[in-house]
Amino acid sequence: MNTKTTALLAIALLSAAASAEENYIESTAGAGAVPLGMLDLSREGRADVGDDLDAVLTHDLEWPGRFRVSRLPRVDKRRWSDEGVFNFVHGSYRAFGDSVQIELRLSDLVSMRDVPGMTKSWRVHRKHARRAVHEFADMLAKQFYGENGAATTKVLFVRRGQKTREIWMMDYDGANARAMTSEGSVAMFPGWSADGRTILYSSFLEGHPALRELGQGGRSSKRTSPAGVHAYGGRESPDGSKVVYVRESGSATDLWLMDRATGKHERLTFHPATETSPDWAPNGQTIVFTSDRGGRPQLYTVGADGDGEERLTFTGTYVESGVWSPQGDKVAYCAMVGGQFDLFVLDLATGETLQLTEGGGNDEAPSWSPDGRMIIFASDRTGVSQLYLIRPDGTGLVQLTKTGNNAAPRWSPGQTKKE
Amino acid sequence: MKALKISLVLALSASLALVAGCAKKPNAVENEQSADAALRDGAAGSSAADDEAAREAALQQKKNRLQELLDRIMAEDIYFDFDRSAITDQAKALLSEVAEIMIDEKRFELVIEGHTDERGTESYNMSLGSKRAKAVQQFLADLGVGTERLQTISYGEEAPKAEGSNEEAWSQNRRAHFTVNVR
Repeated sequence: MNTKTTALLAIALLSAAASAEENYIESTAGAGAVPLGMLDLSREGRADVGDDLDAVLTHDLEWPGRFRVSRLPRVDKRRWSDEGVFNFVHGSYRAFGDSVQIELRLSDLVSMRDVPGMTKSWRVHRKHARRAVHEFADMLAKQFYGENGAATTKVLFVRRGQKTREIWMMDYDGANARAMTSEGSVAMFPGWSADGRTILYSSFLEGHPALRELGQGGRSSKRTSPAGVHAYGGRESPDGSKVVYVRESGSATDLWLMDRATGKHERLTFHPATETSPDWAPNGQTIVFTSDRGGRPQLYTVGADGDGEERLTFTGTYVESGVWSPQGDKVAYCAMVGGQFDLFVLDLATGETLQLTEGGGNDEAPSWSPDGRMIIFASDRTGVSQLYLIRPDGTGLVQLTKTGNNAAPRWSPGQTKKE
Repeated sequence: MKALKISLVLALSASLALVAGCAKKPNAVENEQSADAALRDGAAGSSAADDEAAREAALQQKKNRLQELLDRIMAEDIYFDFDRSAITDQAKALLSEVAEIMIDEKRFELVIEGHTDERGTESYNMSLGSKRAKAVQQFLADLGVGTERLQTISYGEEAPKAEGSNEEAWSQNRRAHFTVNVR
C-alpha cells in the first residue's frame, strides 16, 4: 500500500529533518516517530463538545511514540516537507443538539488526495466524541504500523479516601474517571478478566481481604475466594481459565490458582517465605512473582504447573511488582534505590535492565498498555499519589490524574467495546 | 491523631458494651430463678446471685486491665522497625502481661490487625502486615494462649493511623491493632 511505503520513506528521512526543527523540542513524540501533519479540526457552528478534540488526537498519536505531530492551521507544503511529513490528518465536527457529527480523514501531502479507507465519520452523543477520535487514532496505528492501538482502552485504579478505598475506572488518557465500587470498605488490587468484561479486585468487605469480581455493568459483586480465606491480588490467565492470587498460609503468603471451570483452588508455591504479586506471561505458561526467600524481595518465575522456579532479578534490596509486557519480551518492575522506588524494564532476551525513572518520589505499580508502547504507574512525586504514563524506553512522561489520591493502576486488555 | 485515638476507644467500648449486653440475657434469667429460689429458702439463693455478680465484676476488672495494656501497646509506637516483623523488647514485656490475662480468662478473644507504613509496595506490605500480626499471635501462643482465640488480619498500608509522609507518621502506622471480644 502506498501509505505504508511513504511511511517507511518518512522514517528513513526523519533523522535528516529532525535535528534542525525547533518545533520538535516541545513535542512529546518519541525517537523514531513518524512525522504526521495535522490541521486544526474545523468546528462548524456552535460545536462545543466540552473537550479539546485536537489535543485528544495529538495525545493519542504522540504518547505511544508512533507519530510526531506537526499541527498547523492550514496546509504548508514546504514546511511539512522540511519536517519529513508525507501525510496529514484533518477533519471537522458539527453539533446537532446533544449529538455531534465528526469526520476525520488522512490525506497524502504530495497528491493532496485522501488515503483510501482512511476517512471515517461518526454521529455520536457529544460525551462520546473522544471515543470517535480514539478510534481514528487506532485506525492510524493500524495503517502505519499494522498494530492494534490502545487509544480506546481503559485503566482501573484505586482511589484512596480518608478511610476507604474504592475501585475506579478511566480512559487510558485520564478522561472519564468514575467509581466502579462504593463499598465504603478497603478495595484494592484491581485487575481485568482476559476478555476485559469482568473486574477482579480484592476487598475487606467481609472483614478480611478476599477476592471479588464485578460483572459487566458493574452493579453486583461477588466473592470468589473460599469463605474465611484471606486472599488478594487476583490475576486472570490470558486464556481466562485460571486466576492466580495471593493467599495467607501459615506465617506467610503463597500463590494459589483458582480453576474457573472446576472452581477448585490449588496451591502453586510451597516455599515458607513470602510470595506475592503474581502476573502472567502472555503465553499463559509462566508466572512472574515476588519472593523474599533470598532474604530480600526479588522477582522469580514459576511455571503455571508449579514447576521450574527461577530467580529473575539479582540486584537491589527491594524489587517488586513485576509485570510481563503483552509481547512477552520484557518485564517491568519497581525497585528501591536510595530509599525510594524507581521503575525498571528487564529485556528477557538480552538480560539487560533499563532504568526508566530516577528520584523524585516513589514510582510504583507499573502496568503495560496492551500494545506494549506505554507503561502506566503510580508516583507520589507531587506529594500525593497520582497516575503517570511513560514509554518503556524512559521517554514521554505524562501526568494523567491531578485530583484525588490514586494508586494501583491496571491497564485493560486490547480494544474495549463501546459503552 | 487525637480524634483517631478517641474513635478507637469508642469503638472498643462499643464492642465491649455489645458483648456485655449479650452476656446479660442469660444472667437475667438466672437472676429470676435465683429470686424464685430466694423466696423459697432465703439466704442460699441470694448468695448464688452474689457469686454471679462477683464473677461479672472480676471479669470486668480483668477486661479493664487487658484493655489498659492493649491501649498502652497501641498508644506507644513500640512495635516494629521499618520492613521488619520482629517484636521489640518493650512490646514483648507488655504482651507477656496480655498473655497472663488471656490464659487466666478463657472467655477473651483477640483480633490482631497487622499494619505497615506507606513505604514499600501495597502487595508486599500486605504480606508484611500479616507477618506482624502472626508474629504477635505466635508470641502469645508460645506463652500458652490458644491460637483459636487469636485471629489475625493484615491491612498492609491500607489503613494508616496517622496522616503524613514522615518518620513520625510512619512509626505510628507500623503497628498491631487489637480488638477484645468476650465469648
